[in-house]
Amino acid sequence: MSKFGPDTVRKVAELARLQLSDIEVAKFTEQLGHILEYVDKLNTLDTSTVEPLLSPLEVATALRLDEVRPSPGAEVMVSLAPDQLYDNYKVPQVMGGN
Amino acid sequence: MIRALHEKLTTKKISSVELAKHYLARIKQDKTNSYITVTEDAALAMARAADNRLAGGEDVTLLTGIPLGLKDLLCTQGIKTTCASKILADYKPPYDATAVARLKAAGATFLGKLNMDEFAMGGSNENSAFGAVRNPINSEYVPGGSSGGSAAAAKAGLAAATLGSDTGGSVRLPAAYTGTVGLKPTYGSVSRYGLVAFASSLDQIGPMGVSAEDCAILLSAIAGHDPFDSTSAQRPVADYVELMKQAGTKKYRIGLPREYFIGGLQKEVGASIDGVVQALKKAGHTLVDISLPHTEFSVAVYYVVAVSEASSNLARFDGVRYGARLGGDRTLTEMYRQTRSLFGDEVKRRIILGTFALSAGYYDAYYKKACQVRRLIKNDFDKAWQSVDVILAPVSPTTAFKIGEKTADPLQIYLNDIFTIPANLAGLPGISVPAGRDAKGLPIGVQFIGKPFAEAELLALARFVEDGVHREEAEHGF
Repeated sequence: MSKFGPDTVRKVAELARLQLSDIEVAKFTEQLGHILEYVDKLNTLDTSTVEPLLSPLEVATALRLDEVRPSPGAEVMVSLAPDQLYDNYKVPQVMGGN
Repeated sequence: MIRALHEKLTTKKISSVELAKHYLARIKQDKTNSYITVTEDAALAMARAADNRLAGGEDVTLLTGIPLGLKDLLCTQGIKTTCASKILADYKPPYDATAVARLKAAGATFLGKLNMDEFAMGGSNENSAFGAVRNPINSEYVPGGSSGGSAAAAKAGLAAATLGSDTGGSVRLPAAYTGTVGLKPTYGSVSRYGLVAFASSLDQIGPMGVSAEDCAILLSAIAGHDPFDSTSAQRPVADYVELMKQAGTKKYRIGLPREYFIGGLQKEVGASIDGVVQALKKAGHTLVDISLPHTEFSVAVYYVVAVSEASSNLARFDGVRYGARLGGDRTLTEMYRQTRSLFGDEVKRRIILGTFALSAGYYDAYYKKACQVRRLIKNDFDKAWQSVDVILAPVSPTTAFKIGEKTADPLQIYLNDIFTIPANLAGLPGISVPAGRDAKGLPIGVQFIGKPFAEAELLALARFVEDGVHREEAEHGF
């Protein structure tokens, strides 16, 4: 599968922020190539006039009143984070690197 | 099972605490690896509360004091919810899933959290960071997935009944492989609030147990509208035990889709379906040959749609707000990459495939194309409903396979879901009920697929199979 070689796997993994070893790249290239080859059978169908079905529920977006309701609060939610400072999420350096 | 236990509880033959202890003792002897977390103290506290409720005699439901197990992707407040993943190995949600909260309100006892394929991705329960689950019928075989722990626990008597979830067959396939009953409700029947999302347009929570009635009792407790899930249907709470009884008195036109009876179908699976067909005819139901012509495309559609939604849903696991973090001393991007390396192989494969299918230049060719064919699959069902009320089909082309047998080629496991995926794509309810055993003694399941919100009819037909065709032994040690 030329369109799904190791370089594509590396590029897509980078987009998805996944770190892969060379062994994983080789394994996934082969396995995903098989799957995409199988998926290609969809191209035997003419769907030019078919509207895509994104969800079984084809209804308008559900709306509700914009009311304040009880919630666990920032302290509880932030306490779940791997690293925090007061009621803030703490993350590593954002700028620099790749 | 649930009704029998309920009667023991209300006639004081056993207390909720004794019942919880009975199941906890069985869990200690477990050889199937069904549980990721056993919550012994919490279970006993819940059982004590249930005993008080039973003593007062007020507000007692069929589930009061009944020990249940929950698939470990249902959020449980203060109790680990791992999704069988290293990335959530220590995650304790700050809230309960709606289905969990409703079972709690009914007075059920929770024994713990059940093993599964990581993030519900798999059909064999071999993709768990906490080890594979073994089939209680034969430990060399897989229990099916992704709700393998939920199925094995119900079968092996490690919980009176359980909840699983079904995105492409994850309740129905393990039910078939373990000889249990598993219901995938209509999309929107059960709130997905607090169900860790895999593919949001396909996921549904479903009950699993040793009988259709157990599934009906659980469904009655968990179904109904929830303002916290905008896709939850505006339907009132219903008594599915009563509805199942009423549905059981009616005669149905039952469709046999010819595309489901193809080469590759294990002979004994076909024979079991024949047995069910003969019994249904004898009981006065009408069997009709139908066609669902796009069935063969369902696996291809699913493995584009499900992975696309998964790649988007799993972007939230970034080591910032909850879950594990690796590489916190590096840059933000490097931290993301290292943290997300905690995902197992199958999850990584699906994120890559989904990201690819949604990426610029490939979106139309893969995601849009798959959604168009999804429409054709739904149209097939809509057409079928003009001539039949229910569809009868196999759950899987074969019975359970051996652990390790199919791990090298993921596509082989994907193809196992060909008969369960269409119901998810079209949002329809489906039930798997045991209909026999093969020559190796492995259970065979048959499936009924219904119109939207026809759960009562499916439960009634499953009960018909239990009463008239095949009944699996329910050995929970009483």
